Amino acid sequence: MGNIRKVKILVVEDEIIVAHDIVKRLSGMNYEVVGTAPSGESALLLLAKHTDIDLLLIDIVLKGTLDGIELAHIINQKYKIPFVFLSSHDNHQLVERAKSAKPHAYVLKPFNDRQLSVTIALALDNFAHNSFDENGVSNKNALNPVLQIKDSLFLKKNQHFTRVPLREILFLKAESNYSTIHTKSSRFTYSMVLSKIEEHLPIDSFYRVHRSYVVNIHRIDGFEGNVLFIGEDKIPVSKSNRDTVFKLFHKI
Amino acid sequence: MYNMTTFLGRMSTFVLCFCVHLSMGQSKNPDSLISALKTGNLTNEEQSKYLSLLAHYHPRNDTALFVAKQALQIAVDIEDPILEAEALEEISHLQNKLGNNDLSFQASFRALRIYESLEMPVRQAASYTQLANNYMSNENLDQAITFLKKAELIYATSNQEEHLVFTVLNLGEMFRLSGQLDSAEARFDEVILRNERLQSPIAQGYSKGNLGMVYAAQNRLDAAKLNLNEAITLMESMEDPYSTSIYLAELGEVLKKEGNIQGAERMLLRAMELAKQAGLKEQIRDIATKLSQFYESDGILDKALEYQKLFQVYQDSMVNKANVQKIERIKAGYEIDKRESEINLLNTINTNQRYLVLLLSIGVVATLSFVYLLQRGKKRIKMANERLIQQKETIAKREQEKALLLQELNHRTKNNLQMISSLLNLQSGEFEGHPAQEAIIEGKNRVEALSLVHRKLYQEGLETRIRIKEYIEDLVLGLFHGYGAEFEPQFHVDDASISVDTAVPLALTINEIVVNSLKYAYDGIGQPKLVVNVEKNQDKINIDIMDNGIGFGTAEKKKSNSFGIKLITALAEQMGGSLERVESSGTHWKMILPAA
Repeated sequence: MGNIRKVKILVVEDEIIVAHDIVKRLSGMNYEVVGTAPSGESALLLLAKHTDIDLLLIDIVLKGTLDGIELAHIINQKYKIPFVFLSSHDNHQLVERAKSAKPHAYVLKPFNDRQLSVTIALALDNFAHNSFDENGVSNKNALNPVLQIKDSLFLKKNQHFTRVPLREILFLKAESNYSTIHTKSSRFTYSMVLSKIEEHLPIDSFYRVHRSYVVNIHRIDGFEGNVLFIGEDKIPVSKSNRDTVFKLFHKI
Repeated sequence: MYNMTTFLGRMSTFVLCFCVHLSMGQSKNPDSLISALKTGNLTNEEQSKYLSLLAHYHPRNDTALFVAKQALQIAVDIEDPILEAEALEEISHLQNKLGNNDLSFQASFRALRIYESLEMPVRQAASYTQLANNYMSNENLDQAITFLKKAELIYATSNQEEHLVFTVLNLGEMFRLSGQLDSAEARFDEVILRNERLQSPIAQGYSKGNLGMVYAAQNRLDAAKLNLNEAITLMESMEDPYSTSIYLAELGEVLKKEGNIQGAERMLLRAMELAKQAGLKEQIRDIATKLSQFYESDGILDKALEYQKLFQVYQDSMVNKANVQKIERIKAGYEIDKRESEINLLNTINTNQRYLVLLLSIGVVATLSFVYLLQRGKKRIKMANERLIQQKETIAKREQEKALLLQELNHRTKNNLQMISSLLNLQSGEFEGHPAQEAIIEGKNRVEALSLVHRKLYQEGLETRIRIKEYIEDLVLGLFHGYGAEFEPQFHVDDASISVDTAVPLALTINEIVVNSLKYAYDGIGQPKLVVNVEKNQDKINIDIMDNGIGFGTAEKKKSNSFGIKLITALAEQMGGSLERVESSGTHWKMILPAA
């Protein structure tokens, strides 16, 4: 596809009913669960198989030779994927050990939808900002709705994130307080100002050509006068930006 | 071993008296006795014996009497009658010497009674002899004779030949002094006869001399001369100036009767010389009388006068002697009193010292006891502490186990709640579009409300409590999330804690009310609002949940599940609080709970 897609999650939970419940809840939140692993070993197998996993939910206590914390250490070393610890244990020793794995978030059982949702958002946020869940509290408010993780933009809408690979973005268009992201096949509107999204875009690829447009310079097909052609769309270039924009083309 | 002592002369005549003492081979030297007594290694018996001996040999009468009394006291204390009697004999002897005849008598009679009760006839005889001596001192010759006869009888029957000889000798003398010359002669003859075996020069000398004096009194002058000469020879060889001078004087008298003036004068002068040499004042006085009479009858008046004067001098001196004796007596009494008071003082000091030692001992014992008790107390405390530490460790271990168990229990509870919630959630998915789905989701919500309580529990002392603000906000926000509410609820919640017993029903109540609002209240409401106010004061928690919805009376009422209403009514009752719906534009539930 290579288009805007759901955030992919791997659930590592040995309690099968809970695992299924999580899958249902996550699906209901518009996340995609790539699989459930009842052990650390099977989780590693799934990780090897699915290279595009965005996040893991890991129960600390697992059957098998690896427990959740050991698994987390391996993920930190090999995969660099954000993960959320899941546990009904709140004893000090285990929490301390869990902290050593630097989880990006921590959710306590029994949880509800909101806690799960908030925790995932927190984990993504922490990962994007290269920080960790220090206090285990998953109620952090005012999380950033736009995150850049690896080569994608994670955009929050209706309390869940969707993933947009940066190279798939043609341009972004501002419409008052809304912003629309245009890809080759679709467009997505978010209730945030364009500049908020622009902050998270790499400056070597995206360029503000107009008050209302940010374009992916790699996706420009051509230009004519003050207009850029990207696919079938025509993007106006403001006078103030004109020289800089066209200089870019000469370079390319 | 017997020791014989010759003592007491009286006027021109004399009595040979002797006392018998057990010397037991000890030294007769007072100094060695004193040093033996001072070493202090003696038993009480030995002390008494040594003191008696010391009394016997001590040159000073007062000291001797004092020592004898000590010996007596010890003997009485240790209840040794023989030693008591011996000490009494010494006392009698010394009192006699000091002229206290009454006291001497007393002591002798006491000694005698002891010997009688012990049936010791030989000792009785010695006491009789002493008593005879006392009677003689009192010039009661009849009594003296009576007692001597008793002694004689005992000695005769018990084969005490030596004692018998001297007793007979004394008896003879008593007869002689009392004028019973025949009896006296017979006794002296008996002595001479008995002495052939005994061969005692003393007995021989005295018996011959005394017999001579008897013959002289009977005017049997030749026999008298013969015996007196023999006695003088014997006594001189024994260096007994006293007896010698008496016999010389007597021989002088005999010679004078014979008319041998020169021989008489010579004898008298010899006697005088001897008496003077030996310092025998009585003899000097008596011989001086004889010489004065001799010279007077002979017409040599200047010499008669000279001896008369000499007599006078010695007579005075003798009177003086009585005085001296009296003074001596008083002095002895004084000395004894003094020593006794000293002894009392020493005894008092001794007693005080004893008390002091006793007191110190008690003190030391008390201190040691105290130290011991202290040590024991310390040990006990240490042991108790060790036990306490052990118990503490055990308790700590148990506490740890309990904590682990509690953790495990909590873990399982949470897991199970998660399972229930998960099961309901999964099941609800099976009834998409079916009315049963609603019911299952409501059930799931209720379980999640309870689960939230479990997540937020904490221990406050013995009580399990929950922070009301954090909890209510989480609960309501969770429901808002679950129902996809687009607006934010408003909270005014006091940061207080409530007990888990209140928290669970409260959670369910809030759950019901908020879910009800979210489901039914905001149909067509432009700017929906939900306000949750919780105010905790001293004894009450006031909870207000208000929405600005379509109102409970209309659609809400019809649609409201009656189970929810029943539930919250019952729960309010369970909590001992009240629940009412207040009239307002929307729906306003007002709950008042007792604070706990």
